[in-house]
Amino acid sequence: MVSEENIMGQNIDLTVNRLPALTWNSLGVNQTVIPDVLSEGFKRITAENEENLHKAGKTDSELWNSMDTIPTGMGEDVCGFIDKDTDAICISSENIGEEKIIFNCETSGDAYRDIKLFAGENETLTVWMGLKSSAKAEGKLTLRTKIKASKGANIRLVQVNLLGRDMELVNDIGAYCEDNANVSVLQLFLGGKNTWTGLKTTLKGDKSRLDVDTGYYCDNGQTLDMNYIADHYGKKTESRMNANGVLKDNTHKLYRGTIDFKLGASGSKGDEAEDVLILGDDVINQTVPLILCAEEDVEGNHGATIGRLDDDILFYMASRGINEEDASNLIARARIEALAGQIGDEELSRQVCEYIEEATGYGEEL
Amino acid sequence: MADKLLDVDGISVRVEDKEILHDINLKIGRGETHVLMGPNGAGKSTLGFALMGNPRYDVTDGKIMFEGKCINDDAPDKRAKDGIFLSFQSPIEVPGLSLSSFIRNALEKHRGNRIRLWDFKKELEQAMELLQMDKSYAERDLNVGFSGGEKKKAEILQMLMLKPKLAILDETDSGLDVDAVRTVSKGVEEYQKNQDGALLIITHSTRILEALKVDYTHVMVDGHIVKTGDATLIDEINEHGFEKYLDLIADESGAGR
Amino acid sequence: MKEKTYVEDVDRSVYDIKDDEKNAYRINEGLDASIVEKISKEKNDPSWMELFRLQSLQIYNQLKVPNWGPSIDGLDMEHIATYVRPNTKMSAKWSDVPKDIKETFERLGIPQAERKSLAGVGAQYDSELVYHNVREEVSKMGVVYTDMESALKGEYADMVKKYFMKLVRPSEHKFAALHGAVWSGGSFVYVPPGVSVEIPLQSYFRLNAPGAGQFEHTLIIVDEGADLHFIEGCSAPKYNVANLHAGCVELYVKKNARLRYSTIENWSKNMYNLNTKRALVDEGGHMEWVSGSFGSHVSYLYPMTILKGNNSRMEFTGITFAGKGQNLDTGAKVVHVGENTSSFINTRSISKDGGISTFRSSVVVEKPAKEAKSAVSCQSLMLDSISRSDTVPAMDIRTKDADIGHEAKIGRISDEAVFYLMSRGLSEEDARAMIVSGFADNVSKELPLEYAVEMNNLIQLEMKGSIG
Repeated sequence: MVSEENIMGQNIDLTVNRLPALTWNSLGVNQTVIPDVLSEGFKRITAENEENLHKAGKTDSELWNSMDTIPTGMGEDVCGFIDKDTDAICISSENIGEEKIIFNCETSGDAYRDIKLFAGENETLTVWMGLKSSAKAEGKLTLRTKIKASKGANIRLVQVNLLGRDMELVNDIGAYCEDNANVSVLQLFLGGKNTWTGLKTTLKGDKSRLDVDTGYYCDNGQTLDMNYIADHYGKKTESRMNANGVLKDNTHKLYRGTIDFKLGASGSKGDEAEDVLILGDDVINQTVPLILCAEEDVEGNHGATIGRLDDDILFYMASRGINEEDASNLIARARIEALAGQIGDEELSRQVCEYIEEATGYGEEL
Repeated sequence: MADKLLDVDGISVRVEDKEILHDINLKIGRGETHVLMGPNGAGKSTLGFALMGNPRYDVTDGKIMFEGKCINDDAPDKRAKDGIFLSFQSPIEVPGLSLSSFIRNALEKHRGNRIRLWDFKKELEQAMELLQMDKSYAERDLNVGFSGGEKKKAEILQMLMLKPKLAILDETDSGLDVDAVRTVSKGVEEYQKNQDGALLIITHSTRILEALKVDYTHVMVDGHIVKTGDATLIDEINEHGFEKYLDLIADESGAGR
Repeated sequence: MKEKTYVEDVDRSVYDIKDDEKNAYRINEGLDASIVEKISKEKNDPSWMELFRLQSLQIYNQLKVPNWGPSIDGLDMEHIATYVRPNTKMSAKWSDVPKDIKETFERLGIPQAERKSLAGVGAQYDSELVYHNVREEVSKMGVVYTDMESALKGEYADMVKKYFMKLVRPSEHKFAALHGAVWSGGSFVYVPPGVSVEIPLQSYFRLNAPGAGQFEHTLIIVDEGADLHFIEGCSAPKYNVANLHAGCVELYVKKNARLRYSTIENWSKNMYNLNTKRALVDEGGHMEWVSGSFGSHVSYLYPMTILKGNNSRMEFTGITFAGKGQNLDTGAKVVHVGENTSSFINTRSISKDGGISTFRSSVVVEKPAKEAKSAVSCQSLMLDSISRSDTVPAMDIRTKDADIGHEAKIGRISDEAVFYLMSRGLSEEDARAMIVSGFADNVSKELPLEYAVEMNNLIQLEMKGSIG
């Protein structure tokens, strides 16, 4: 169900996903331009079952407004665009511990929504966001999520992109942690045609922590443009960002992952790992894992493994009767299913498994 | 005389530019247990890989016949589906793929149809109990973080579930403590008795053989099979080592000049 | 709990040697076409080179400075004399070199190096090759080792024209264009097919005049099946006026040939080092870079290798040490084009006393580059919290038949390691210096002994503030 409130404006280009430290311009990864975004005609999308969502009231608007300054991964352009939204979905741990939000783009058209998640001191909040659409729907869905975890709080955000193949997704997230707070994010990018996503986390409080698991399966012309940033400000802060995915024929994926240790973040640790299985032809895989450091007493690691399956693994699989094509599909499926197992919501989990089984032709080869 | 299950007829095997195995002849009948012994570096594992069809191992002469058909050109997954199994000396880690998922998929390939989860889980649990493997291993990533002993048990577990016609065990007892050897032995015994499988046990020590019925023993030195005997050959090796056979090779190469 | 060790700024007095300029010819300090023409005339350039210089100047004026990397605002091109020629002609024998120039080189150890059986020495002093000596053995083998100016006009003129700035084109970036316009001096090396040059060839640069820039051009062609090790090491005195080094190195590794290019860069702390080095590797060729970056105020240095031929291979081993007042932006680039190519990049970096060290890399695997393999490993050590260490790698892979791995680590000297060494009797300062030396061993073990010793001395200098 889509509300009729429009945002007025004209065509604009959004410059998004800028690298915190630039590299050679010729590589084309310093930032991305989403061209010709029609801000006129964007409609605010309402979640399924929105009336029953436990939205926090407007009474504590100071709290929600304070989240306006939290920086996001995709940057100012998307924020400026969405800031015009006057009716964000605001979920607070004070009202509920878990909430599921489903956005269903039933008809074609561009849609947007602003979402804010808050957890009070030592409280826990888990939010699932499922994105789907009718099979032939066309248009751009733009979501901006701001997360604030107070002292000792835990916020978990799970996002599953199961949009139809003619939809595009612009998905921006900004998170902020106070002392001893934890934010964990699980994302599965499966559907949609083109996806742009960013996540910036400000680990302000001491001993705060970020965990991000991103899984993707791209085939048949899909593109995925990502920007993940962990800013370590507080002491003894920790971040772990993993991206794990599969690229089949005719796909383009750009992963930017930054661990930034600011001066004063002593005792902190940052870990970034990317594992890309390239199974198709005409693939463009770009990986830019940055570590920026102004503080001596830290530990930063990143690793990236890109390419095909190891010969040793292929032989091992073959020795059990599984040929190369089946082994590739098996492992691709296993990657996504492993993350699906962490979703924590049976329906979403099942939808992901169904999607990936069909995409990898499970059962067809028997 | 019945057709042999495996008939290796005069094969030589090269790895990169070096010939490791020379003119190997070996016949294994259904349900028979063969042991292949020899000092380190003799080429025993090479034979295992060559029989399984590892593309890095080049069979330059001779024929490998399995169930009466020549399999020299068969890919390893075809050989697996035909009933050959190799238990790896160093099993590979495959992060992201659970042990049970892997076995179930392999089993489905073998049988050519889907298997009901419930039935599969029961069978798997039984086999794991026999091998004294904790149930939790089923959902763990294949071989990732497994100790040496657990990796070997996972190999035998796969063997029991896949029920091959010929199982080649490559140094299965190396690196295992006394209890683990006993447990693995039990698994092999189970395969030998209740699945009537043929075995080619590659080893340079004999601990794993103590509880098994052995039909033939072969000694390999420097890529040659220098002696074939029955189970008593094992005791002889235990007492006197391989020296006599090393000398044999030295003499022959000396004589050649 | 533990006291931080106080480490003094580098004592570089052994390198700070100034000579008075005597009747040295010096052109106007700004940069326009008339100056470029003057340079060309001075050098008796063939006409194609004069034209090339002017075209490069045009490109220079059109290009902008990069928007990434350390600031070069401190460099004022209008006041950099680009060409200074000392009062002497080129000599074939050491005994003919003027006394004060010879003294400078002697203090820096060149005659000793010569005595130690190095094959030949080309030494640059303020934009001209002063001393050049090719040992009999290598010239008998047909190896050509001469200065660039001679090579441009002698029997190798056609070969030079064919290759000059075709690998690094003036249009690449502003300082490549500058180089194309005002280049002067440098070496030309040609190794004929099948020739294996046993002893390393070495070259030595020196910058002396206030405000002078260095624009030497090195062109090395290693023909099929040949083998060469070339060593480049440099030093310059300290001035208040900014000094610029915009050199260019072009390396051609032909089929099944091997080239090892070793450098220790030890420019003084006010230099802007904007160097461009590139290698093109043919089928079965093997390129090795060994690189130690210690000096200069600002550095932009990313040796690049193009693995054009099938089965070609590249290895890069580097160390960068950024101390007080330094902003060193270094790394490596590789492009995989042929099939079955492999690249290995292993770098270490150290930041101390407010120094900024940035590791910047690019691994590109193009679509036809099947069976490409690449492994990049970079480790960074931060010695305090007033310094910075940034790692900015990028990978662009366009084929599925590739095996690409990358890992980076950043951290500090482990307290356990320091404690262990101290428990064996070393002072804390010595322990740290030893650990940092050990950290640099990826490079030191690839260098000939006297260079490894020089490098370790440099590290001790940087860490402990006294000449070892």
